[in-house]
Amino acid sequence: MGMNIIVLLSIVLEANQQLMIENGKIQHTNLKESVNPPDEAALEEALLLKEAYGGSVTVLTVHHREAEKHLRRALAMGADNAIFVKTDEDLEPAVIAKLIAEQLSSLPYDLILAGDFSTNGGSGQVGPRVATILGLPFLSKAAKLEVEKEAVFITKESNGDLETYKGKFPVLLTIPQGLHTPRLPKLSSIMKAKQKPLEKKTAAYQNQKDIQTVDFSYFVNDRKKILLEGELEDKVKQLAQIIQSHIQE
Amino acid sequence: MKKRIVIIAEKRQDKLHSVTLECMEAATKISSDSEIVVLLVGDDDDESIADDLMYYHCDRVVFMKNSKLSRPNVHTLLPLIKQFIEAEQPYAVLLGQTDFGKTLAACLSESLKLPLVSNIVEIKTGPDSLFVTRQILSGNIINKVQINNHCILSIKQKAWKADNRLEEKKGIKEIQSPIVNNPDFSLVRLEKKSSGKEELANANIIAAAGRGVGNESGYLLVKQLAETLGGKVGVSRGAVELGVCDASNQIGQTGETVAPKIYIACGISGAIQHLVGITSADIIIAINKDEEAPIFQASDYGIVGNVFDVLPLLEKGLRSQDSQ
Repeated sequence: MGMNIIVLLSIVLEANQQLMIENGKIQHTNLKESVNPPDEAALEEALLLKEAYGGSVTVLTVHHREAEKHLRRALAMGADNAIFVKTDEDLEPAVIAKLIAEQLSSLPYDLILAGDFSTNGGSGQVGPRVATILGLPFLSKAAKLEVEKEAVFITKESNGDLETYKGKFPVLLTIPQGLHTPRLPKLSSIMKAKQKPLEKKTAAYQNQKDIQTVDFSYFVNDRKKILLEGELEDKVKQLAQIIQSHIQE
Repeated sequence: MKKRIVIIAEKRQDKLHSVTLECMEAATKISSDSEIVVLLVGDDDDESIADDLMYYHCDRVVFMKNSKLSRPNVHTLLPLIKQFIEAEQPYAVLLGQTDFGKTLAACLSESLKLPLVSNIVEIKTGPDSLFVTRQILSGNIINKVQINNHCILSIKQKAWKADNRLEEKKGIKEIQSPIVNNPDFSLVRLEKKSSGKEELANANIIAAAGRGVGNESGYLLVKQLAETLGGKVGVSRGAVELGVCDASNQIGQTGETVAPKIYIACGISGAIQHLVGITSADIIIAINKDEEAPIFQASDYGIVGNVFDVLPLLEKGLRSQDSQ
């Protein structure tokens, strides 16, 4: 049997770049964006499942800036279709989930995959919200999926233990970043991906009113930043004393 | 009228998760005079956790008990907890920003149509609203938001100290025995692992290894240091990728959040994804051969040096001071 898989890709600011705040707002000029790393692991899982069981992989993104190149890259990695819903502003996860659920309502799917959190908001809300809106069963931090006839076995990490659940499609799973290292697209696939279907859409929405941003600020790092000086043996001796004095506190 | 706050307790490897006690402390920031209700879901084996919760700052401990609830997943719990919150009508619901907590929080927010703010590190009250700050962009940026409604808050682990256990019981226990429907996905196999995550999260001293330990013998030096100090060993993603250890003791954005008195980062470069897991440490010590490593900007004390040179000497130094 073939599996229809949908992967939710969010586009995030790359982590290790200098962010500027002006008048309490993050300045977005010249910032680099990429696909959220846990979502890339989810895409890799989808592609592996497609290779094992057959079927199709559709990637779906809701974003307020240009996202086509990220979706083309996902197509080059092996996804079959892409849908990009462009919004005018950065939205709260509740609104993004609503827009995603609206798209999904007209798509066939057995399995929906998403990363278990995004490095932008870090909240991990979108996946479980989408499942709740659609009334789908879901499991977080899935580590393995196996299909036997009609039954689906899903193994997930739970506070260090491994739990295996049995059920049926459709289901939504969130995938932890550490599960896979995403593949690199081949040059020939990059060319082919230009011909694959990528649907661009806009959608009507209302951003959430009961949560309002007051401001953004930098995380304040008030560590002492003392580099110990001297010969290595002296430095280590000082360090041993520092450790001992804090243990005794 | 007193504001009612519901805290949803979490278990980790058959014990109470420390984040539940941190929620109790955070609840005092919403209102100093509130009614605190702790909800624990479990089976008969969890009765002792419910009894113990009565010794903390809460007014009621509601123990929702059913043999099907020994290891419930969020999808099974959602209708039960939704119903509970609808009956209690709390001003705020608090959970920990754990896999369980963040997932449940999102589902509750969606099905109860209550606003949710995740990953909270500070709570302040205004006349008619709450002001909370959340960490975003891997901890680089702090976002302050205003909430003008009853709400759900998931708190970052270790952003608050755990509530202290009282000498006398404070809370009263109520038992609820809900009917639990068979879940869409039922547990068919369980592999328990003694991962020691709870011990790592609550350790007083942590020595942690990064990519800079180079190989397994470097990792073992860090582990030895942790043992000498009576602490626990942690690792960064770099060490996991190096292949010297598995991810079960990983610290950072995709691992544990810790708050030890002393954190010793050995061969850890200090990527923001790691730092976000250690911001609540009292003292951070860095050992790294690269003087330019960002970890030194995020540390209290640093030694520029190779872990293979520094750690054996440090081991010797600590032992000789012990014997003095």
